[in-house]
Amino acid sequence: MAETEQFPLRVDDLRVDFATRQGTVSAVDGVSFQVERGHVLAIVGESGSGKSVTSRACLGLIDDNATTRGSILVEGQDMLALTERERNKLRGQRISMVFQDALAALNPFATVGRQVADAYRVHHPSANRKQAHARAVEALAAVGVPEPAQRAAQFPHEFSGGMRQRVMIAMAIVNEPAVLIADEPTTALDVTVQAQVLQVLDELRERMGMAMVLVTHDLGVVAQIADEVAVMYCGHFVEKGTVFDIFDRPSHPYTLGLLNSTPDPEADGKRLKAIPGVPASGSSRPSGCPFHPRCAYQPEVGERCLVERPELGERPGSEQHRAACHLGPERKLP
Amino acid sequence: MVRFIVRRVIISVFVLLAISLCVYLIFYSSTVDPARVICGRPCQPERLTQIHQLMDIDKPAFAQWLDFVKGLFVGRTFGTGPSAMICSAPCLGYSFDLRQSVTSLIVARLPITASIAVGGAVLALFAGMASGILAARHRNRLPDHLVRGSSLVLLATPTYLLGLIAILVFGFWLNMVPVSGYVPFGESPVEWLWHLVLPWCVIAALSGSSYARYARNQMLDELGAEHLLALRATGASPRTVGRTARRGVWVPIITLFGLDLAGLLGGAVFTERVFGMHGIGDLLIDGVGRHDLGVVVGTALFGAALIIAANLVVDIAYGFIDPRVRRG
Repeated sequence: MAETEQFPLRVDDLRVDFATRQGTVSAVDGVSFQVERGHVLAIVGESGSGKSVTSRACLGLIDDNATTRGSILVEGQDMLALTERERNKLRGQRISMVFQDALAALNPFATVGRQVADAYRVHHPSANRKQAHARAVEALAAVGVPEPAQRAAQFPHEFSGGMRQRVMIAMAIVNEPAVLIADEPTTALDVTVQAQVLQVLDELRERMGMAMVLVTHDLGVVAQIADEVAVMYCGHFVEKGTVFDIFDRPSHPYTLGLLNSTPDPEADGKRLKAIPGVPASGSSRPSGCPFHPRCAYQPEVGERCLVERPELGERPGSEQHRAACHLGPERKLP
Repeated sequence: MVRFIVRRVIISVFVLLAISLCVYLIFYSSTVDPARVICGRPCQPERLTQIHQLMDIDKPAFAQWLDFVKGLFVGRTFGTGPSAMICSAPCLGYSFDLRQSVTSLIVARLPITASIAVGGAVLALFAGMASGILAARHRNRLPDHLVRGSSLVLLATPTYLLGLIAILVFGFWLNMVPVSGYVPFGESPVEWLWHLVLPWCVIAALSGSSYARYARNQMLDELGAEHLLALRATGASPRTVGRTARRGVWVPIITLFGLDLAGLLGGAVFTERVFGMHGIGDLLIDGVGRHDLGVVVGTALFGAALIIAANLVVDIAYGFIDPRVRRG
C-alpha cells in the first residue's frame, strides 16, 4: 500500500502564530503526527492547549491574522501549499470536520436535508437536486437518524442535541472522505447520548476506513475509541503513544495529572486530584518546559526544567511511545 | 401562524386606542383654547360657547375621546343644517381652520410624503447594505475606515443642516437640481424625479449610515459564526459563503427598514420643510402652529398606526424567513 494511502493525514512540524496587538502569540508550536487509515488519533488537552487550532489548520481554516507553517498532507497534497480554490476541492471531499456545537454549526434557516444535500452537491456539481436529496437521506440513515426521509424536511432546531450532532456527521461523511476531524464532537451532549454518537463515529470509521482525529478533553471518550493518543499542552505534544501506553504507563507528569483528575469507578473512595495552577497559554508561556510551574516533579529534576524545553524522547511501551520530559525514560511515574 | 397574526392585530388596535387617548389628553391639557383661535377678535362669550358646541369640545376630555373613537368607525357630523360639516368614516378629526376632514387632508398629502419616504428608504437600504458589507469585507482597511468615519459624521448631522447644505451645493452653486417644491408624478414624471433626487439622497445619507454600521457589524458576526466555518469546511465556494452570510445580515436590516419606512411615511417633518414639500410632516407642523387639535391628533395617530402596522408586517415576515419563529 502506498504511503499516502496508508496514512491519509500527515502533519509535519505544524506551527500556527496569531498576530495580536500584544505581539505574536504561538498557538501551535511544532506539532507532528500521522493517522493511519481506519485508525483514530485522539488529541487530548485542556482548553487553550491548541488542539482546536490544530484541527482547524488541518482543513486550512485558520483566520487571516495567523501564519501557518509546516506541512499538512491530505492524501499527499499539502493543504498549506495549495490555493484556496484547490483547498476547497479537498474540504468536505477528502477531509471533513465535525464541530462541537451542532446547533451553532448548522444553518438555522435551511432544512437539514438541504444542508446535507448542499454538502454533497459542492463536490458533485453534475448531480441534480433529486439525486443530491436522495444521497442526503442515505447519509442521514447511515448516521442513524430515524425516518430520514421525513426528518430531512425539518430544521435544525427541531432536532435533539444528539440527533443534531448526527446530522453534522452526515454532512461531513456524505462525500466519503478519507480523513475525518472531530472537534469535541460529544462535549455538548448528555453522557448517554455521547456514547451513541461515539458509536456512530466508530462504525463509520470502520465501514469507510476513514482516518480519524478526535479532539477532546475527555479521557473517557479517548479510552472508548482511540487507537493512538497525543497529549497537548501549550501548543506542544508533551506525550504520544498508543492508548495502552498512555493509560498504563503515562510518562509525562501532565498526562498523569489528567488521568488523576478523571473519575475512575474502580478506585473507590479515592479523591480526584486536580492539577494545580492554571494552564499556560501562548501569550504567557513559561521558560523552559511550559509545564514546569504546575509540575510536582520539577524539584526532582531541578533547574533544567526552567531553562531547557524537553524534546519528545522514546519511552518504554510501544514503539511509538514518546514523552517530552526531563525525567527520562527510566523514571516510572506512579 | 394565523392565530399569531390575529392576536397581534387585536393587540395593535388596543395600542392605537391607547396612543390616541394619550395624544388627546396631552393636547387637551394645553392652555390654548382652539375655539378661541377660530373665534377671532373681539370674541363674544356666546359665540365662543357656540363654537365649543360645534367643535364638540364642551365635554370632558374622556367623552371627547370617545366621540373621536366613534368617528373613526362611523364618521361624524359637526353642526346641523346646510352648513353642517361632514367627516365620513374613518374620521381622524376635522380641521375647522381648513374646513376639511383630517382624513382627506392626509390623503391629499400622502403622495408627496410617500414619494419622499419610499424612494429615500429604499435608497438608504441599498446604499447602507452595500457600504456596510464592503466595510466588513475590508475590515480595518481603508474602505472600512471611510464607511465608519463618514457614517459617524452623518449620524451626528441634523437633517435640516444636511438638507440645507445639499440645497446650497447642488441647487445653488452647481445648479444641478431644483431647490424646492414638488411636482406630481402624473404631471411630469421627469420633473417629479428631478425634484425628489435631493431629498432622497439626504434621507439615504442619514438613514443609510445607520444601516451601514449595523450591516457591517452584523456581517462580521455572520462571517465569524460557526455555521459559516462549518459551511467552509464542506468546501463551499467563497460565493456561496458570502451569500449565506449576507442572508443573515438581511434579516435584522429588514426590521430596521420596515420601521424606518413607516416613520418616514408618517411625515418626514424636517425633510419636507427644508425642501418646501407640503407632505404630512408639513401638515403636522402647521397644525401644531395653529393649535389645530384635529390635525395634530389625526396625523399623530396616522403615524402611530403606520409604525404599528410596520411592526406587524416585519414580525410576520420574520416568520417566513426564520423557521424558528414560525413554529415557536
